[in-house]
Amino acid sequence: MVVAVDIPRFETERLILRAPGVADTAPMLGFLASDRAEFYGGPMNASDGWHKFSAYVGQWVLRGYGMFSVALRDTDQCIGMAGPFHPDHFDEPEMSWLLTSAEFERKGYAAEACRGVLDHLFTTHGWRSVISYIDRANAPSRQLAERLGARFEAAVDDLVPNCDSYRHFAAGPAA
Amino acid sequence: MIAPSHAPVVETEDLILRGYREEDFEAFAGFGASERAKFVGGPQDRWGSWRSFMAGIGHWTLRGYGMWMVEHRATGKVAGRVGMIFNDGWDEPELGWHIYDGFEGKGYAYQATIAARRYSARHFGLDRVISYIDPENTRSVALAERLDASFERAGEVLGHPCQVWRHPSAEAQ
Repeated sequence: MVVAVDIPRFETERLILRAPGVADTAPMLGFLASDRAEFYGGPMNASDGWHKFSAYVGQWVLRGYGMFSVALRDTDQCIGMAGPFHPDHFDEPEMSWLLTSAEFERKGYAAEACRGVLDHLFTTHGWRSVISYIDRANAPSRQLAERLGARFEAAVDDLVPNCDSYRHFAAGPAA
Repeated sequence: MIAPSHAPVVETEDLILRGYREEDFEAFAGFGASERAKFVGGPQDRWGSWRSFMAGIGHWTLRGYGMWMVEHRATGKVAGRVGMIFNDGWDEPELGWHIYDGFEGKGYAYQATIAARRYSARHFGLDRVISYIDPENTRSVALAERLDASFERAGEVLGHPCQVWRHPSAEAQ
């Protein structure tokens, strides 16, 4: 018996949201080895990076949802990841996102990817809301959460040190 | 996309090699936190073990093969893990085995490894594979010998000195 997981693939205006694959290893390990990974447990060496990246992939199988690779439509090049991250010690899945390199910033890619993923979670999975934990020092992520319409909820230092929670809501009346 | 994501079931006399279930995590984390994990990158905390557990699953999706959970048929308990590891930084895919507390000395490691080696040769095209073994891990060295593997060279994994043992062809076994 091979239990397969159906990792959806969909497109936004400029991006593809798809299953992470081996070809994404190099950009993701590059990201995780860089200072950009400071809010993702990094910077870390290639071995730890491989484990973290493959763990993102493995979550799909266990949970049925996970982080998509964010790729450019024109080239299929992986420029980041976005989706719900749900480790053992989180009570609920956490909407997370990253761009692998500064060259992809300030183009609206993260917002476009997150809007696509959130819409997918709300329509396909029927989720009513999803939380994000954001480090107080991570101003770009906080600003993006606010741009996406997420609302500040609480300080969650006990769960994730130095982080606040923000909650994204499905369109329509909030529950 | 449908990912080839999870381990096929392989049965032996006493064991069931299968994919990962969330309820396996306590046994997995218990091994990860113990001194027994010192030859496989541990000991590590629960958070590190969760990442390793997820990574063990993700390996199947990324590579199409990986390490199985080994279930002890008679009790339903998780007895360890066995299978192919090809992490970033590895020279080539490696046959590895981890036996959890209470399941040593019963021939289970041998039984599981033979089954995993044969399955990987037949179905994944991974034959005459290597095992990385810490020279101080005398029990694993003894098992490698019992599996008819032979010492090939002194090597290293992630900067850590390790012996490279080469298994015989398992395709015909």
